[in-house]
Amino acid sequence: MVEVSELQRDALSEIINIGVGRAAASLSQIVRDEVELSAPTVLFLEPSEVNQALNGVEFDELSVVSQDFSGPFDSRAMLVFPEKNALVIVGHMLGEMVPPEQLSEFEQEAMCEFGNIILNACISSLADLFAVEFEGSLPSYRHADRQTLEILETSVGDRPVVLVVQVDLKIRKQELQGHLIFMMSVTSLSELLDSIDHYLARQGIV
Amino acid sequence: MNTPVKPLFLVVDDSKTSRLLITRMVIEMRPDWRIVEAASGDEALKLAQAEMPDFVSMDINMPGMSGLEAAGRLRMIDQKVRTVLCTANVQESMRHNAEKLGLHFVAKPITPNTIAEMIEYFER
Repeated sequence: MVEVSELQRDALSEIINIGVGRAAASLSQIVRDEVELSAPTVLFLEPSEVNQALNGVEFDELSVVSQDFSGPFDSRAMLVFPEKNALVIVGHMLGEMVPPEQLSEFEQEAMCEFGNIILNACISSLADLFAVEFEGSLPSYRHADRQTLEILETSVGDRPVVLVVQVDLKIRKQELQGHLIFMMSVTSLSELLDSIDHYLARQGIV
Repeated sequence: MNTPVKPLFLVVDDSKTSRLLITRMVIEMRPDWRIVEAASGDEALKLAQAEMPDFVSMDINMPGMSGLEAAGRLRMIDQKVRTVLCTANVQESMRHNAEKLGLHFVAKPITPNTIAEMIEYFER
Protein backbone atom coordinates (compact mmCIF):
# COMPACT_ATOMS: atom_id res chain seq x y z
CA MET A 1 0.00 0.00 0.00
CA VAL A 2 1.22 3.52 -0.79
CA GLU A 3 2.21 5.61 2.24
CA VAL A 4 -0.32 8.31 3.01
CA SER A 5 0.89 11.05 5.36
CA GLU A 6 -1.31 12.44 8.08
CA LEU A 7 -1.43 15.81 6.32
CA GLN A 8 -2.45 14.19 3.01
CA ARG A 9 -5.14 12.15 4.74
CA ASP A 10 -6.43 15.22 6.55
CA ALA A 11 -6.47 17.29 3.35
CA LEU A 12 -8.24 14.52 1.46
CA SER A 13 -10.86 14.20 4.20
CA GLU A 14 -11.50 17.93 4.02
CA ILE A 15 -11.68 17.93 0.21
CA ILE A 16 -14.08 14.98 0.28
CA ASN A 17 -16.07 16.74 2.98
CA ILE A 18 -16.56 19.66 0.58
CA GLY A 19 -17.52 17.23 -2.20
CA VAL A 20 -19.99 15.41 0.02
CA GLY A 21 -21.41 18.78 1.05
CA ARG A 22 -22.00 19.63 -2.58
CA ALA A 23 -23.54 16.18 -3.11
CA ALA A 24 -25.80 16.70 -0.07
CA ALA A 25 -26.97 20.04 -1.50
CA SER A 26 -27.92 18.20 -4.71
CA LEU A 27 -29.58 15.42 -2.72
CA SER A 28 -31.56 17.97 -0.74
CA GLN A 29 -32.88 19.44 -3.99
CA ILE A 30 -33.78 15.97 -5.28
CA VAL A 31 -35.70 14.87 -2.20
CA ARG A 32 -37.01 18.38 -1.49
CA ASP A 33 -36.07 18.19 2.14
CA GLU A 34 -33.25 19.11 4.46
CA VAL A 35 -30.36 16.67 4.48
CA GLU A 36 -28.21 16.32 7.58
CA LEU A 37 -24.93 14.57 7.18
CA SER A 38 -22.16 13.34 9.42
CA ALA A 39 -18.52 14.22 8.84
CA PRO A 40 -17.29 11.62 6.34
CA THR A 41 -14.92 8.92 7.52
CA VAL A 42 -12.20 8.21 4.97
CA LEU A 43 -10.54 4.79 4.90
CA PHE A 44 -7.88 3.39 2.60
CA LEU A 45 -8.41 -0.35 2.25
CA GLU A 46 -7.28 -3.40 0.35
CA PRO A 47 -10.21 -4.90 -1.62
CA SER A 48 -10.35 -7.86 0.77
CA GLU A 49 -11.01 -5.48 3.66
CA VAL A 50 -14.05 -3.82 2.10
CA ASN A 51 -16.62 -6.39 3.14
CA GLN A 52 -15.44 -6.11 6.71
CA ALA A 53 -15.77 -2.33 6.56
CA LEU A 54 -19.32 -2.70 5.26
CA ASN A 55 -20.13 -5.27 7.94
CA GLY A 56 -20.88 -2.45 10.35
CA VAL A 57 -23.80 -1.31 8.25
CA GLU A 58 -27.27 -2.35 9.21
CA PHE A 59 -28.40 -3.69 5.88
CA ASP A 60 -27.67 -6.62 3.61
CA GLU A 61 -29.32 -5.81 0.31
CA LEU A 62 -27.55 -3.02 -1.45
CA SER A 63 -28.18 -0.67 -4.32
CA VAL A 64 -25.05 0.32 -6.19
CA VAL A 65 -24.56 3.05 -8.77
CA SER A 66 -21.11 3.15 -10.31
CA GLN A 67 -19.35 5.42 -12.72
CA ASP A 68 -15.74 5.54 -13.99
CA PHE A 69 -13.87 8.83 -13.93
CA SER A 70 -10.65 9.51 -15.76
CA GLY A 71 -8.32 12.48 -15.47
CA PRO A 72 -5.06 13.11 -13.63
CA PHE A 73 -5.97 9.92 -11.80
CA ASP A 74 -8.58 7.31 -12.66
CA SER A 75 -11.19 5.95 -10.31
CA ARG A 76 -14.33 3.89 -10.25
CA ALA A 77 -16.75 5.81 -8.03
CA MET A 78 -19.59 3.89 -6.41
CA LEU A 79 -22.54 5.02 -4.39
CA VAL A 80 -23.74 2.21 -2.13
CA PHE A 81 -26.81 2.30 0.09
CA PRO A 82 -29.63 0.07 1.33
CA GLU A 83 -31.73 -1.35 -1.47
CA LYS A 84 -34.94 -0.57 0.42
CA ASN A 85 -34.15 3.13 0.05
CA ALA A 86 -34.04 3.01 -3.74
CA LEU A 87 -37.77 3.26 -4.35
CA VAL A 88 -38.07 5.91 -1.65
CA ILE A 89 -35.46 8.00 -3.45
CA VAL A 90 -37.13 7.40 -6.84
CA GLY A 91 -40.44 8.43 -5.27
CA HIS A 92 -38.88 11.66 -3.97
CA MET A 93 -37.30 12.36 -7.37
CA LEU A 94 -40.46 11.93 -9.39
CA GLY A 95 -42.95 13.18 -6.80
CA GLU A 96 -46.52 12.99 -8.01
CA MET A 97 -45.53 12.70 -11.65
CA VAL A 98 -45.58 8.92 -11.48
CA PRO A 99 -48.09 6.88 -9.44
CA PRO A 100 -46.47 4.77 -6.67
CA GLU A 101 -47.34 1.48 -8.39
CA GLN A 102 -45.31 2.53 -11.43
CA LEU A 103 -42.21 3.67 -9.54
CA SER A 104 -40.40 0.35 -9.90
CA GLU A 105 -40.48 0.75 -13.70
CA PHE A 106 -38.36 3.87 -13.28
CA GLU A 107 -36.01 2.46 -10.64
CA GLN A 108 -33.11 1.38 -12.88
CA GLU A 109 -33.06 4.51 -14.91
CA ALA A 110 -33.88 7.00 -12.15
CA MET A 111 -31.23 5.54 -9.84
CA CYS A 112 -28.61 5.89 -12.58
CA GLU A 113 -29.51 9.56 -12.85
CA PHE A 114 -29.52 9.92 -9.06
CA GLY A 115 -26.04 8.38 -8.79
CA ASN A 116 -24.87 10.46 -11.73
CA ILE A 117 -25.82 13.68 -9.91
CA ILE A 118 -24.38 12.67 -6.53
CA LEU A 119 -21.12 11.19 -7.84
CA ASN A 120 -20.58 14.12 -10.21
CA ALA A 121 -21.18 16.62 -7.40
CA CYS A 122 -18.45 14.90 -5.42
CA ILE A 123 -15.96 14.47 -8.27
CA SER A 124 -16.56 18.03 -9.46
CA SER A 125 -15.40 19.35 -6.09
CA LEU A 126 -12.19 17.36 -6.41
CA ALA A 127 -11.72 18.67 -9.97
CA ASP A 128 -12.27 22.28 -8.97
CA LEU A 129 -10.07 22.18 -5.87
CA PHE A 130 -7.28 20.38 -7.73
CA ALA A 131 -7.79 22.69 -10.76
CA VAL A 132 -8.04 19.70 -13.09
CA GLU A 133 -10.66 18.04 -15.27
CA PHE A 134 -12.29 14.60 -15.12
CA GLU A 135 -14.30 12.77 -17.73
CA GLY A 136 -17.06 10.50 -16.47
CA SER A 137 -18.49 7.37 -18.06
CA LEU A 138 -22.21 6.68 -18.15
CA PRO A 139 -23.50 5.47 -14.78
CA SER A 140 -24.66 1.91 -14.18
CA TYR A 141 -26.98 0.58 -11.50
CA ARG A 142 -27.35 -2.83 -9.92
CA HIS A 143 -28.48 -4.66 -6.81
CA ALA A 144 -25.97 -6.59 -4.73
CA ASP A 145 -25.68 -8.01 -1.28
CA ARG A 146 -22.80 -7.38 1.04
CA GLN A 147 -21.26 -10.76 0.30
CA THR A 148 -21.45 -10.45 -3.46
CA LEU A 149 -20.68 -6.78 -3.83
CA GLU A 150 -18.72 -6.74 -7.03
CA ILE A 151 -15.99 -4.51 -5.69
CA LEU A 152 -13.67 -7.46 -5.51
CA GLU A 153 -14.45 -8.67 -9.00
CA THR A 154 -13.83 -5.45 -10.88
CA SER A 155 -10.45 -4.65 -12.27
CA VAL A 156 -8.92 -1.19 -12.16
CA GLY A 157 -5.29 -2.18 -11.96
CA ASP A 158 -3.02 -4.87 -10.68
CA ARG A 159 -3.43 -4.16 -7.01
CA PRO A 160 -6.45 -1.98 -6.55
CA VAL A 161 -6.78 0.31 -3.57
CA VAL A 162 -10.19 1.11 -2.25
CA LEU A 163 -10.96 4.46 -0.75
CA VAL A 164 -14.14 4.14 1.28
CA VAL A 165 -15.96 7.23 2.47
CA GLN A 166 -18.69 6.53 4.94
CA VAL A 167 -21.34 9.18 5.38
CA ASP A 168 -24.48 9.05 7.48
CA LEU A 169 -27.30 10.98 5.92
CA LYS A 170 -30.53 11.92 7.55
CA ILE A 171 -33.43 13.21 5.55
CA ARG A 172 -36.03 14.53 7.97
CA LYS A 173 -38.14 11.39 8.14
CA GLN A 174 -35.73 8.74 6.93
CA GLU A 175 -32.25 7.74 7.94
CA LEU A 176 -29.99 6.61 5.12
CA GLN A 177 -26.54 5.27 5.56
CA GLY A 178 -24.58 5.61 2.39
CA HIS A 179 -21.08 4.84 1.31
CA LEU A 180 -19.07 6.46 -1.38
CA ILE A 181 -16.43 4.07 -2.64
CA PHE A 182 -13.58 5.04 -4.93
CA MET A 183 -11.58 2.18 -6.39
CA MET A 184 -8.27 3.03 -7.90
CA SER A 185 -4.99 1.45 -8.83
CA VAL A 186 -1.87 2.02 -6.77
CA THR A 187 -0.61 4.26 -9.58
CA SER A 188 -3.77 6.35 -9.47
CA LEU A 189 -3.55 6.60 -5.69
CA SER A 190 0.00 8.00 -6.06
CA GLU A 191 -1.33 10.48 -8.61
CA LEU A 192 -4.14 11.44 -6.25
CA LEU A 193 -1.59 12.07 -3.51
CA ASP A 194 0.44 14.21 -5.95
CA SER A 195 -2.70 16.23 -6.65
CA ILE A 196 -3.19 16.71 -2.91
CA ASP A 197 0.44 17.85 -2.53
CA HIS A 198 0.01 20.38 -5.37
CA TYR A 199 -3.21 21.61 -3.79
CA LEU A 200 -1.51 22.03 -0.40
CA ALA A 201 1.41 23.83 -2.05
CA ARG A 202 -0.96 26.22 -3.84
CA GLN A 203 -2.57 26.98 -0.50
CA GLY A 204 0.90 27.71 0.94
CA ILE A 205 0.53 24.86 3.45
CA VAL A 206 3.66 22.93 2.39
CA MET B 1 -54.36 36.56 -40.17
CA ASN B 2 -51.70 33.96 -39.41
CA THR B 3 -51.66 32.30 -35.99
CA PRO B 4 -48.18 32.72 -34.45
CA VAL B 5 -46.25 29.45 -34.36
CA LYS B 6 -45.83 28.16 -30.84
CA PRO B 7 -42.19 27.80 -29.73
CA LEU B 8 -40.69 24.35 -30.16
CA PHE B 9 -38.65 23.07 -27.21
CA LEU B 10 -36.33 20.09 -27.68
CA VAL B 11 -35.25 18.08 -24.61
CA VAL B 12 -32.13 15.98 -25.20
CA ASP B 13 -31.21 13.58 -22.41
CA ASP B 14 -30.48 9.86 -22.28
CA SER B 15 -32.25 9.72 -18.91
CA LYS B 16 -35.98 9.13 -19.26
CA THR B 17 -36.42 10.46 -15.72
CA SER B 18 -34.71 13.73 -16.57
CA ARG B 19 -36.76 14.11 -19.77
CA LEU B 20 -39.93 13.46 -17.78
CA LEU B 21 -39.01 16.00 -15.08
CA ILE B 22 -38.04 18.69 -17.60
CA THR B 23 -41.09 18.26 -19.84
CA ARG B 24 -43.58 18.14 -16.97
CA MET B 25 -42.18 21.28 -15.36
CA VAL B 26 -41.97 23.17 -18.66
CA ILE B 27 -45.55 22.18 -19.54
CA GLU B 28 -46.62 23.62 -16.20
CA MET B 29 -44.76 26.89 -16.71
CA ARG B 30 -45.27 27.29 -20.48
CA PRO B 31 -48.35 25.27 -21.43
CA ASP B 32 -48.39 26.67 -24.98
CA TRP B 33 -44.92 25.41 -25.94
CA ARG B 34 -44.59 22.38 -28.15
CA ILE B 35 -42.13 19.82 -26.72
CA VAL B 36 -40.17 17.05 -28.41
CA GLU B 37 -37.74 14.65 -26.77
CA ALA B 38 -34.53 12.97 -27.94
CA ALA B 39 -32.51 10.35 -26.07
CA SER B 40 -29.23 11.10 -27.88
CA GLY B 41 -27.40 13.77 -29.87
CA ASP B 42 -28.00 11.86 -33.12
CA GLU B 43 -31.72 11.70 -32.48
CA ALA B 44 -31.73 15.42 -31.66
CA LEU B 45 -30.09 16.26 -35.01
CA LYS B 46 -32.61 14.10 -36.87
CA LEU B 47 -35.50 15.86 -35.13
CA ALA B 48 -33.91 19.24 -35.89
CA GLN B 49 -33.76 18.37 -39.58
CA ALA B 50 -37.53 17.85 -39.57
CA GLU B 51 -38.14 21.09 -37.66
CA MET B 52 -35.54 23.30 -36.06
CA PRO B 53 -36.32 23.87 -32.36
CA ASP B 54 -36.33 27.36 -30.87
CA PHE B 55 -35.03 26.20 -27.52
CA VAL B 56 -32.94 23.18 -26.50
CA SER B 57 -32.14 21.58 -23.15
CA MET B 58 -29.07 19.43 -23.73
CA ASP B 59 -27.45 16.86 -21.44
CA ILE B 60 -23.69 16.43 -21.97
CA ASN B 61 -22.79 12.89 -20.99
CA MET B 62 -24.81 10.63 -23.29
CA PRO B 63 -24.10 7.47 -25.28
CA GLY B 64 -22.68 8.27 -28.72
CA MET B 65 -22.26 11.93 -29.59
CA SER B 66 -21.64 14.22 -26.59
CA GLY B 67 -24.12 16.95 -25.82
CA LEU B 68 -21.44 19.59 -26.47
CA GLU B 69 -20.93 18.30 -30.01
CA ALA B 70 -24.66 18.00 -30.65
CA ALA B 71 -25.19 21.57 -29.39
CA GLY B 72 -22.41 22.80 -31.68
CA ARG B 73 -23.96 21.03 -34.69
CA LEU B 74 -27.39 22.45 -33.94
CA ARG B 75 -25.88 25.93 -33.93
CA MET B 76 -24.23 25.28 -37.28
CA ILE B 77 -27.69 24.51 -38.69
CA ASP B 78 -29.28 27.56 -37.09
CA GLN B 79 -27.36 30.18 -35.12
CA LYS B 80 -30.55 31.49 -33.54
CA VAL B 81 -31.24 28.31 -31.54
CA ARG B 82 -30.91 28.92 -27.80
CA THR B 83 -29.36 26.00 -25.98
CA VAL B 84 -28.99 25.31 -22.29
CA LEU B 85 -26.59 22.61 -21.12
CA CYS B 86 -28.40 20.79 -18.32
CA THR B 87 -25.88 18.49 -16.72
CA ALA B 88 -24.71 16.82 -13.53
CA ASN B 89 -21.13 17.60 -14.57
CA VAL B 90 -20.76 20.77 -12.54
CA GLN B 91 -16.98 21.11 -12.87
CA GLU B 92 -15.72 24.68 -13.39
CA SER B 93 -13.97 23.52 -16.57
CA MET B 94 -17.33 22.41 -18.00
CA ARG B 95 -18.92 25.77 -17.16
CA HIS B 96 -16.03 27.51 -18.95
CA ASN B 97 -16.40 25.22 -21.98
CA ALA B 98 -20.09 26.09 -22.12
CA GLU B 99 -19.35 29.81 -21.85
CA LYS B 100 -16.73 29.63 -24.61
CA LEU B 101 -19.29 28.00 -26.91
CA GLY B 102 -21.89 30.64 -26.01
CA LEU B 103 -24.12 28.09 -24.29
CA HIS B 104 -25.97 28.66 -21.05
CA PHE B 105 -25.27 26.20 -18.22
CA VAL B 106 -27.66 24.92 -15.57
CA ALA B 107 -26.70 22.29 -13.03
CA LYS B 108 -28.76 19.19 -12.29
CA PRO B 109 -30.72 18.17 -10.27
CA ILE B 110 -33.73 19.42 -12.17
CA THR B 111 -35.96 21.54 -9.97
CA PRO B 112 -38.57 24.24 -10.65
CA ASN B 113 -35.76 26.76 -10.09
CA THR B 114 -33.49 25.23 -12.73
CA ILE B 115 -36.37 25.14 -15.20
CA ALA B 116 -37.29 28.76 -14.40
CA GLU B 117 -33.65 29.75 -15.01
CA MET B 118 -33.70 27.87 -18.30
CA ILE B 119 -36.90 29.57 -19.45
CA GLU B 120 -35.60 32.97 -18.35
CA TYR B 121 -32.56 32.43 -20.60
CA PHE B 122 -34.68 31.25 -23.53
CA GLU B 123 -36.95 34.28 -23.32
CA ARG B 124 -34.21 36.85 -22.63
